[in-house]
Amino acid sequence: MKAFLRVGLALTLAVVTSGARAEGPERRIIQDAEGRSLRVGFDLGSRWLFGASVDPRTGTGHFEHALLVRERDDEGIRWKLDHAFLEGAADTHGGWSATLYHGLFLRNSGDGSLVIPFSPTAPPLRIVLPADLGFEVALGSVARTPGEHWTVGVARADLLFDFWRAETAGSYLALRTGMAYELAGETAFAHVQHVVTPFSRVGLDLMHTFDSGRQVVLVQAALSHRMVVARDATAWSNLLSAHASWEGIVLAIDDAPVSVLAELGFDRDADRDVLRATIGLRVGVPTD
Amino acid sequence: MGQAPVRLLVTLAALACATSRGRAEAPTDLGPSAVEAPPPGFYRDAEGREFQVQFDLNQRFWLGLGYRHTFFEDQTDGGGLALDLGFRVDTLSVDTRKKTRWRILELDLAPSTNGRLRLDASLMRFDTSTLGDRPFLALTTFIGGPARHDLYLQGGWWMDLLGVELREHRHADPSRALRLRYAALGAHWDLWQDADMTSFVRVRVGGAIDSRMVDDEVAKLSLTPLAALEGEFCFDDAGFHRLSMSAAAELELAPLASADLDPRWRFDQRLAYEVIALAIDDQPISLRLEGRATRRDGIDGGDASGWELAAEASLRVSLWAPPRDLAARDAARRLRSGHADAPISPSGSPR
Repeated sequence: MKAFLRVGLALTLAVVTSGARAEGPERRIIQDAEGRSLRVGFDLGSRWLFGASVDPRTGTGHFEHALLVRERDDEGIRWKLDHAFLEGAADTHGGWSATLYHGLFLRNSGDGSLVIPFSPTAPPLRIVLPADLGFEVALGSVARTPGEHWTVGVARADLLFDFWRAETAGSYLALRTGMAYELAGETAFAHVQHVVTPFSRVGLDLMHTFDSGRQVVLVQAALSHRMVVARDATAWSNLLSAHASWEGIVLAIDDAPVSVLAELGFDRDADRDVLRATIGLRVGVPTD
Repeated sequence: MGQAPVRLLVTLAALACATSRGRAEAPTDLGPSAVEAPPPGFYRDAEGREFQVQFDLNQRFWLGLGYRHTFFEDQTDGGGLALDLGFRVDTLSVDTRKKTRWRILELDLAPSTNGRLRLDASLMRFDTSTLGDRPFLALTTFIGGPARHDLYLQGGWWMDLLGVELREHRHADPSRALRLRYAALGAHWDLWQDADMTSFVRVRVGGAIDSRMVDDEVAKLSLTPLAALEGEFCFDDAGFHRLSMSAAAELELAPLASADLDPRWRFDQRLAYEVIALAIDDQPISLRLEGRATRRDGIDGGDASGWELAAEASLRVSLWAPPRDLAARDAARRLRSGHADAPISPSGSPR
């Protein structure tokens, strides 16, 4: 099983990164021939982000905002923490969404072990895991679609198994499962539906940061089996979502990165299919 | 305009050019045997008399009198006397990176042209230009390998205080329009300037708070965004030849007034050339030629709109006008480029 996972991981990375070196984001500054400093290494997980993109098929414009903060320990057991505050998105058709806080926490140990001290006198229990463990949480989400459909995400939490086990942040291959609770409705708040996902969501995420942090590839797929509780009925529904994006820094203004973003997304639930293909620009103010 | 005045102006201009050229070159005739060198900007003749041969017309009080011929929007034209005066002081900081320009008590008056009066005046106009010693923006491109490209900011801000614009047309009804500009404020970006920022080309944007009154009507407050492309050029070290130009557009809006005040455009284009012809007691007298094209919607007494074209020739008497500080100019050149004769381009590199 372990060998299978490693072979699968190696093949996946070879396809996605085309041989790019698995280096993590870092603040790297060089000097040119005239002695001027220029930053060439970036951490796209640490920035105050403003973005605008357009879907060429429909002409719909999208705008986004987020405050991203990435923390990581450099020695021993590493916790790679990605925080996103005040995420917001809006489009020109009147849809919008916002999330108060979104965090991804990945634990990485050098030998892949988990040490559990059961007793002060006995040796601790050491469990060797094939994957790093992690968590993802989202709190306080609000979304509204142009059709007057709204949702309020009270909380969402996922357990992640990161099979990449990269030492640096910004790169992982994670299998996830988790739970969520949200409220949904149409126009008025009179007919509120309670949508519960009781550990019935599975997903696979691949994120790779390379080229001194100047390029990021992200592929996500998830299937949620959700219980929808209305006033007079309870039903189950599926939500399938898939998303792939590439972001590359093409310019830096006063060492603030300007990047190109190409994104492809697909959502399918009981009512509709939504396909989104956008290309746009992101401007970030580094926070590292 | 008849041919005789034109011939006269051309003759005067040619005379002034020849005079200035002679003066500017004269100091080089002084040999090393001179007992004591005259102060910078002065020349000592064979009889030992010292007189000023360089002038800084950006530091002076001037009084000008001339003839202005105007072509009005109603297909009429006429000429008359024009008077202008003002006080200007330009200062350059010690590190030569900041230029401040003051214009105080400027007046431009054409009292009677075909029954029309034109008056423009301002209490104070101020602007300051700064040449950044650090890049305003450092651009790094990553296509084809990291490379840095620096952009330097040359610019500053400007402010006008209390301007008056009066237009009267005795044969129109209503006959008088008065605009008061209480204050205007904005920023400018210098597209190009020479080492000591005497010559420049810049874009100026900003806004003004105005009020407009037609005849005895109650004044209406308005907000006026404006933009202009401006340039001043001094062509020689002696400061004899100057060219100035501006192209400005304003849109008078009335967010604070009643709805019956429609937005009104105002355009003002000017091109002027000034050359020093002679000096009396080291106070230069210059010939100035100016062409202007203006359009002020609804300001000519009533609601008339249209272009006015004017040509003017005048003589200006300038008081003060000290010699140009060429030492500071040369120091600025050395500081910025390391090439003595290279003006500074907006990118900060020698041209």
